[in-house]
Amino acid sequence: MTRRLLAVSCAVLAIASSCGGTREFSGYVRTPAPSSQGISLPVIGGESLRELVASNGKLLAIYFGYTNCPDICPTTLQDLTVALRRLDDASRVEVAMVTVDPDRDVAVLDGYVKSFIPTAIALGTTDETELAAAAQPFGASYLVESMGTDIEVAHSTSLYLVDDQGTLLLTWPFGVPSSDISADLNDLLDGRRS
Amino acid sequence: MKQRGIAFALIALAGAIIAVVAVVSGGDEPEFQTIANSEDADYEYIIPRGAGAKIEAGESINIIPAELMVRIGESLRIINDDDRGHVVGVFFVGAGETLSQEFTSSGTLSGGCSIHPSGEFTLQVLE
Repeated sequence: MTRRLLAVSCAVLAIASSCGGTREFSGYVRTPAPSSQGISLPVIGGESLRELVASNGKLLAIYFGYTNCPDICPTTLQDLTVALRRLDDASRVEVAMVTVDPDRDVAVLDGYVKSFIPTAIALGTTDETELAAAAQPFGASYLVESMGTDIEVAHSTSLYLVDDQGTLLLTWPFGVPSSDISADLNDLLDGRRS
Repeated sequence: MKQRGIAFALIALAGAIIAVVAVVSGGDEPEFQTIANSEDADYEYIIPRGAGAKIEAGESINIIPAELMVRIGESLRIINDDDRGHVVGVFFVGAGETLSQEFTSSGTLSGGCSIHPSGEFTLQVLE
């Protein structure tokens, strides 16, 4: 009786698993996928350079923003914070924020991004060519303009995810819910790539 | 000429930011999924080589509509043959890349557009 019950249970589980469709990623995939391998930026608050690739076996979420941003940047970082909390193993996801407003941010970005995610890495350079080269594979764009005493910053708002080879796996447009980001991350950490 | 290019970039970025704020204020966003480039797409647009240079030079080119209405289950493909990446709404299509997306729920996606004279692109996904 017990054996028959076990057999039926296995059959039900097999049918259920075969019927379950693969969840689609909420971020979009670029084809062919660009790579950030070989591109490095100075670590703010440190003395080293950080290549824009994840550490071995991990994923790296990269965001280009600035600390004076009134809405998009803090919202994105908060969404990412919540997404990381929902992960089965958040230690396998690294986070880096690159400032697009280095003149104002170099002194404060490290504390800013760590206030959201304590393990996050702050990256920045006042070398415009170096920053542009770092943004290029992601398609990140930005413009910092002085308007009298004010400084206006416009920037693209996506969040990017690369693997330990520097391959851009996903781009999340602003507004993708944190639950969807965490689901994508969990799938990728489980080894799914498409 | 360079100033015109910068102005265009500003318009595109401003459009993207405005769209993003609209999302923050509660607009419903459609869901989408990446499909294989080998699959047929319902809407296909090709950004030709030299498009970005023409825009920088002040030419007005029409490759992609400012507003596109599709239905759930339909797909959009953007093939970028230009020598530079382009922003199309919430998507970025790098030089030589192809973006293929199928839309799986209704809503509106808006953002900047670096190849439309208005600097904006709105995609409406209908039931």
